[in-house]
Amino acid sequence: MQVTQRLNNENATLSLTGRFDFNSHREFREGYEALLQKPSVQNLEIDMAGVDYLDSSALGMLLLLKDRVTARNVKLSITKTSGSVRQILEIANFDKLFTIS
Amino acid sequence: MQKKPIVIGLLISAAMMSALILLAGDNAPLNAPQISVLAAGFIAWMTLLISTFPKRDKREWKPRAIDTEISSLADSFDGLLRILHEEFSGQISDTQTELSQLRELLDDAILKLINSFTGLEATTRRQHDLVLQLTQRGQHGQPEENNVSDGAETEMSEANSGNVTLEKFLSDTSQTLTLFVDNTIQGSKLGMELVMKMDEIAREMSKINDILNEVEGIASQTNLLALNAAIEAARAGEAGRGFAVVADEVRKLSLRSSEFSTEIRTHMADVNHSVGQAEDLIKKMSSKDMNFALQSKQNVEGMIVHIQEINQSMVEATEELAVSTQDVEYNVHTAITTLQFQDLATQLVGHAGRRMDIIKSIIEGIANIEQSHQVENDRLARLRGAIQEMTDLIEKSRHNPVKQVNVDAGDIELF
Repeated sequence: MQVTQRLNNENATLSLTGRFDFNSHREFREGYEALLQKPSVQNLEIDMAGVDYLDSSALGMLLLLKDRVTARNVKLSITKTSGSVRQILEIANFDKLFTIS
Repeated sequence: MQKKPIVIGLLISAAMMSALILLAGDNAPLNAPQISVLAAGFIAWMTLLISTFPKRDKREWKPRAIDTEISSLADSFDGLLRILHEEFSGQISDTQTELSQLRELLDDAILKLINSFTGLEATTRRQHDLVLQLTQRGQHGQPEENNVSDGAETEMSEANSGNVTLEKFLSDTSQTLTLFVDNTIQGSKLGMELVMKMDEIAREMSKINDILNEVEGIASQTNLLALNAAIEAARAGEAGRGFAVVADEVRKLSLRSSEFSTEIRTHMADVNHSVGQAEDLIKKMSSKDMNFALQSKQNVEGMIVHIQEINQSMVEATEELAVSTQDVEYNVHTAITTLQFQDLATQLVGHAGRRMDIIKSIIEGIANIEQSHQVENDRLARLRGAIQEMTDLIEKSRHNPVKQVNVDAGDIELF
């Protein structure tokens, strides 16, 4: 999976492309940690437009990220989900934990 | 002039004879209209015959030839009466036997019909109740809601309240699936947390590595220092002997320090390897494909829709069944009511039997007159009396006790 960071003052975006699974845990973690270290960041958007596959470890990583941003008091949103990615997020009831679009 | 009525009488009797022979040949029972026609003909004939006798009374006795003729006429009349008596008696008793057979047949058939219709009605109602039970059980899963079921059945169904209905099963499956998905995700989250911790371990290990490099550098420098000290001790000669021993000990210590560093590196390599293995295991544990959940959820949802369709069609079928059961019950009631014509039919058959009795006794009466012909006048008077009696009886028998009766069903007119 490829991870791209984008920062615009308080709005940070992490764009993911490819398979979001266990093998991408380091890139993902490093990606969001780098953004969260910027004190200006108030909103973190995870752009899933390029993601075509999610496994359970990806869901676990998103839950860890949720814990992390709650501690840092940053708003988290998951955006541009589609197809099976969206269905899996719904089955996992993530629509109750995250702002998903 | 005298002969004319006699000729007419003979013609009528010939006609009646042929009618009788035809009827006898047919071997069919005489019905009431046929008997009435015969009786009417008989009366007409008798009337004609009698009308000749008073005229003859008023006349004087003339030639013997007329007497002979009258005597032969009386003989043939007697013969005719005998034949009539025999034929009528036979036909009437046959008819009466057949009438009683008809009554038995009617009684038997109607009883069986009523029983089978009642049975049909009961079976239909039971069928309907069974279907109701089935559908309500299928829909609600709790047969206690079934008002049709009796107490014993309710008890039984309460005892079986652990019964799993299809809908409950699906809802359970759905819940289990959600629980399973939650557990999988929580497991993965823990796994990822572990991986994070292991990354920290790896970072710490690399720091230890850096420190070991420092330690090895110090050991190497100490070794060099000890070597220099030994050279200086040798140059000092006898005075430096003691210092040479110290220098040698320091060199040994530096060597031992280097050995420990190497040992620590080996152990750290082992730890790194184990951490790598642990990460592989965690990957196996926490990286689960989620499509199974998607598939299962779709299956459960599809099943729920299917069951709702089945329930709907069951409700519709039950409603249709209720209507057709009502139809059957209505029709059976109509049929049973209609079958009550049995009483009327029995009365009618009895009445026909009594008519037969009357006709039989009339025929017997006439036959008796024939057997006792002594005095001509006496015989005529008795014959006239018999005819009068016969006319009265026939008139009486016209009265039908079962006239124009409607059966309760209303729309069926039997007679």
